[in-house]
Amino acid sequence: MRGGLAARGLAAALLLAPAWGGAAAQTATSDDTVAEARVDATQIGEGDSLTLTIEVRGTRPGRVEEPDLSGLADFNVAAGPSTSTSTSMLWSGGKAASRTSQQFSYILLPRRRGTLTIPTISVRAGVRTLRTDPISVEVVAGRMRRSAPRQVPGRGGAPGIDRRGAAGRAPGDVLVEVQADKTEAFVGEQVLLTYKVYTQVELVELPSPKQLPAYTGFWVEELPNDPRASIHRVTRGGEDFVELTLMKKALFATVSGDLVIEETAFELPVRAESRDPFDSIFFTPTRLVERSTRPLTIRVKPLPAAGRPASFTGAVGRYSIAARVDRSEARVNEALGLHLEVKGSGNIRVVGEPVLPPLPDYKRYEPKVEEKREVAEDRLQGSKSWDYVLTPLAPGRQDLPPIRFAYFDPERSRYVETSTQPIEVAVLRGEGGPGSVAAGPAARREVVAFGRDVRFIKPASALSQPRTPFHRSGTFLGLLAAPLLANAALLFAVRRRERIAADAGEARRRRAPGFARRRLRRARRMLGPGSSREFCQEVARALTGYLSDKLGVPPSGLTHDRIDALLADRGAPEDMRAAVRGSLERCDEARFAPVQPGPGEMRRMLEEAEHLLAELERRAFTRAAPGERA
Amino acid sequence: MRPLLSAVLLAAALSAGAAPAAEAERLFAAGNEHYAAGRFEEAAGHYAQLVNQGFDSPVVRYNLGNAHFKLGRIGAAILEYEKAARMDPADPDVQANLEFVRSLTADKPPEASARTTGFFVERLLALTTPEQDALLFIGVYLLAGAAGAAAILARSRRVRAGAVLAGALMLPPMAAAGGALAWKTWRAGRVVEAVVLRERVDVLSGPGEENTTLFTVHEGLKVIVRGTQGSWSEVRLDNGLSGWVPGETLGAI
Repeated sequence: MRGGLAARGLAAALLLAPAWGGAAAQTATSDDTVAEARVDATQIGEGDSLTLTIEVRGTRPGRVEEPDLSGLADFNVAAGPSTSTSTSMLWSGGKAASRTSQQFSYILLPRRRGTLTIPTISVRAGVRTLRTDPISVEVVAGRMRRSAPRQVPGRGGAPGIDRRGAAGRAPGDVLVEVQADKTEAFVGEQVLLTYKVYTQVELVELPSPKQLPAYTGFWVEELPNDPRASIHRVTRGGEDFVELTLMKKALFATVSGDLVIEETAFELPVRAESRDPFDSIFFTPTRLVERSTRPLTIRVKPLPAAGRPASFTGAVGRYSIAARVDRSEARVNEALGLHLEVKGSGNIRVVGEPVLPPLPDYKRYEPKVEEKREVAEDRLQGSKSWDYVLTPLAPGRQDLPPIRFAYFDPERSRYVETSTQPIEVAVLRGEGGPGSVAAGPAARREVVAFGRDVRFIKPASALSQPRTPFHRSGTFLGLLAAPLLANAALLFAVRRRERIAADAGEARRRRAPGFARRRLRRARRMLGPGSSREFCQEVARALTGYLSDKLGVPPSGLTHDRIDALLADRGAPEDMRAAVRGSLERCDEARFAPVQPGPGEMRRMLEEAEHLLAELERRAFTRAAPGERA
Repeated sequence: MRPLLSAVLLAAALSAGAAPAAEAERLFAAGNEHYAAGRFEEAAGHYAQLVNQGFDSPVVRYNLGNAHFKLGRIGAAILEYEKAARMDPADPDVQANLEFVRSLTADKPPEASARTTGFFVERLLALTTPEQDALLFIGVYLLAGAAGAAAILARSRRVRAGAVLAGALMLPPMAAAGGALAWKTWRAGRVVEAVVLRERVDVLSGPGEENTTLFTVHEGLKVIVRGTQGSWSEVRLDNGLSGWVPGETLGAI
């Protein structure tokens, strides 16, 4: 019932400040109490409403009853009465006199075109019955008044339908409806929802929704609406209804797909019949009727990806962009204001900051953002502005390039890109004189990239023959094998050397002929007088050394007998053993005898020794016997 | 050992820097001229012809990737850059362009699920290319060989012990590099990677249009091809998602 209270207050306030045009008719009574009927227009359209006010005033009017409108044949009472009473004091001849005025206001809807008459209306005031004068109203086709009644009468302050009809027949129908201006929209496009009541019964108060739907997937803006100003008559299915707009909402889808606006239940307080006539004088008997809107599906299409400009920041609707600077000349490091404004129709709140082109010669600070919103003809619109502070960093012509701004125009189903005009800015050198480019080291800045692209192609000089990767090449395999083979060979060689070194006796045997031959060569060089002793020694050493090495016996233990025995063991024939012994003995004799051998003798001894060595080597009597290795 | 090392270096140098054939040089230069003049389609044609003639080098793939990018084919561009990176992972231009073009793709590369040890090993393995592994391996291997030779030739017991110790120290890096090389060679023979070439591809639950769409991938995403059936390929993403796509929507790296 809080709506009722508010409506009553509103009605009273409007009644106290009426601006009445139109005609007035008044009837005086025997005392000074009079009844007067007034209308706010004498010419209206067929769909317009008319306000009828009946005023009873006088010094002592008594109890004023509600006027009897039973004779009103050409009009339906859409709402009312709303009543108001005022009392004023008059001083006349030292006597105070009070005057009371009571007003009853109705909203009437014409039933037809033509010249209609509001007949004489009778009002009971105390014991008197007062009558108003009839008023003629001309009703033409269509609607003449854009805004309907400026004041809303009705005891409950709420509009209603013909009370006589309600009293005279079964209560009529009442229903609520939600209407969308479109059922298919793009993401971000405005969808206007209008909640309306169609009634054939009197509404005591403005209906209110029990609970509003969640509007899932939408951004919702409440639009201004004056329900009282929206009252007019319509015909639905051949029947007359009073239409009343309860509320309007601007919806902006945030996602695509089939979005459902759930049903909304309203409680409608309608005038009820009462058996108690007394009741109906002081109170309006009310009953609550519940009605729901039907669910509504809006098909929301995504914004096309094709053709989306880089400067698109989410604006859907129809916009324009403008930019200006606060001055066209500035000094280095002096602040320069850039004002950027986007305005137009659409959900201005979601319009993103336009992408500023790179301004390498300016330092830019975070902008101050301002937003203005308004509603015109049920469309949300407004403007959003960004105020940037720019400080020029280098002197010269530092023009601001055009700033692009793209929006999606849902009516044309395409993106539109607009841009500002380039702005000329001349930057003068700073205060530090002609030499100063920037004011101090703080103004120096890093070089930063603001464009992005792939790196450029490689020149022809970079081209090289494709090659197999190293790990699949023959080189790799070769290198794998090389250390293995090299180390194996090395190991073999070292092992052989070691084995040979370990077998010293074998070595001596192998070396024996070489040593013996070397000694004999030395002996040959001693052939001649004076060195026969050394010669004989050398020949004897060649023989014993050879036999010592070959037989594996140290030379010190080699007596002639021992040599003979060892050679005998190895199967050397008698003549050979005798030759060896003979040769050695001759050498001894020659060494120790007082008479030195002659050169011929020495030569013979040498040849004998050579022959013996060759014979020993050839016949291999000196091969090592088992167990004799040193 | 010094002559052996010089031989290795010489062989590597010879295999790397052979002069390209005159015909290849002509095609490449013509491609570059078209590119510089903004005729990217013709440039791409020339580069592709080079590749078709068996002249497959990272430089050609790189330029081909650039031409594709300029024509708006980011999937094809990524594919060529990936191939170039396989051949020459150290080229900073290839890496820069790959990173830049990847940043323009619709799909964020799926993060590998947190398999701590496996993930760590994968990251470690990704640090080197097979070629680098091979070079490292062969270097350490030759040093170990030299230590072996020193041990064989050593006359004193101490020198021999030192050589054996040095050889033993070479074993862990040799095993690591060799293992990495072996694993990568084995993997390269088995794991096929591919790049999505179409703007949008639905990944289905089976090889055939009648199957359910599981998820959608977009141009430029790298996937692993697990197998094929008819004209359909089974793909897997790093985050474990897998499904089937028509084979023609992919380009194998």
